[in-house]
Amino acid sequence: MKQNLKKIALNIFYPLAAFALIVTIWAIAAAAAKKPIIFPEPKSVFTSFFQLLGGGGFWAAALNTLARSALSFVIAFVAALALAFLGALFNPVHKLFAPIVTVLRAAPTMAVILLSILWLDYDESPVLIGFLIAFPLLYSAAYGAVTSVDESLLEMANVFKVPVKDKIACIYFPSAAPAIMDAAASTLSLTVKVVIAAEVLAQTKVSIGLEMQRSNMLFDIPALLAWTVATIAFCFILEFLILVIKRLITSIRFKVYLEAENG
Amino acid sequence: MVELKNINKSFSEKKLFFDFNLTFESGKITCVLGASGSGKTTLLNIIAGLTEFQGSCLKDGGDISYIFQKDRLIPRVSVYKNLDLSIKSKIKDKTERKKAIADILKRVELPDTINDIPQELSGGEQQRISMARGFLFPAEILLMDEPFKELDIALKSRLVKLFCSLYDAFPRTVVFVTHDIYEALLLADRIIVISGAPAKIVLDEKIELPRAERDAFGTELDVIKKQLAKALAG
Repeated sequence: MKQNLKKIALNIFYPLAAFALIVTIWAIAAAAAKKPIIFPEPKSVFTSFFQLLGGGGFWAAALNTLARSALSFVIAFVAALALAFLGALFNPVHKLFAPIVTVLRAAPTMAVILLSILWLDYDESPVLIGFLIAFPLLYSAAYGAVTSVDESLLEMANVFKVPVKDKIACIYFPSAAPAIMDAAASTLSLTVKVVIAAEVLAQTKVSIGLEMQRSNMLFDIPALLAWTVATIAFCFILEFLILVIKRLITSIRFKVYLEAENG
Repeated sequence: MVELKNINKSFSEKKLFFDFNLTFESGKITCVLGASGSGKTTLLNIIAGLTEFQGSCLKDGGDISYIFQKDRLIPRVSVYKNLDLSIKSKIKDKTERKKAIADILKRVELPDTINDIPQELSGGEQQRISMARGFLFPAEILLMDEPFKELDIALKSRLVKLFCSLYDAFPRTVVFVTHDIYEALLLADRIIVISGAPAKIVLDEKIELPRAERDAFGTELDVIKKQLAKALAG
């Protein structure tokens, strides 16, 4: 019990200490720069942040951006997982998708954003951008995870004619899930950032991107930084949620015997 | 029965088997001995259909069961689930599977591990579960790839006795690969030694003495011991 409390305390202490360090360095740098308009001190940014939180438009913009990010991420995640699995089972599928994934990964993000604005609605292009950025990363991680499954276990499963759905649930899934979830956590943050960038260029209504651009045009740098702090906070929370899901998934044990006893 | 005819198999530049022929008698334990790299495991994998080869391999019934060198239990899945998955394709009725699993765990003296995951078991217990799985799966042919390797003498002796009791309860054609002479002397009805590349049979002897009367360190098996030592020394 004591060990667990110590672990929890350390898990809270170190992030807080890191945050305090960043704010301290920021305060020192801002004081040294003496340009409060373009390099505001932490106090004015956090004042602006809490004003934003209390304002009417904050949550609408934030939730819309997060919804677009979530939509593009979920579509990318499901597509990547399905295609990676198919690619692992049927090599021609992987050979077909591997060059496509390479092209998507290498394509300059800005060019893709500008093209999607031409082709799509201001509301739709951030979702497409989010998908195009997230998909190749998730596909590569998922394919790598699925193909790293212990061959000896697959051999055993073939000998004993284990049904395919059980191979997936009991061998592939537990083996691949941790790596896929780690990739999902970092890709989700990146998706949010890229969606916001697309919203800035597409001038998507009711979005964090548009609010950031507005703050920039009005030279309200504390507000711009406040939106940045809000975005970072959202990304932290989303990554944390994914890692919680990862922990839940990787600690599941299949207690079929007990189920059999009960029903 | 397992009949291998005109088996050809190479790995990279090395010819493991060239027009190799061997028949394993039905209902008997045949032990294949040989030095490391002689192709013993490859022979098992050819019978199991786990590796490509040229030639033919005829098997009674078609299905095989396997006790691997390492237990190959699915991690973070309970002992019950591990065993259940191995017989799901053969026994459709859940109650029947549950009964069979309970019975085999009793035979290997591990009924209380049913809800444990492999990481919670000792090495010996994991290997016993692996052996249970091998006999639980209904197949005419059982392949064993050095299942007692890396075990200490006391545990090895216990598992050899366990194997004998399981074999008496569930007799089948057994092809058993090892490089341990004493395991072969205690268990085999027939001992084959392969050697060279491509592999050739350099010894093929039957042991008529009943298993229950054998003592690997006694004098009754001295003749075959000498033959084995000579064949393995090359």
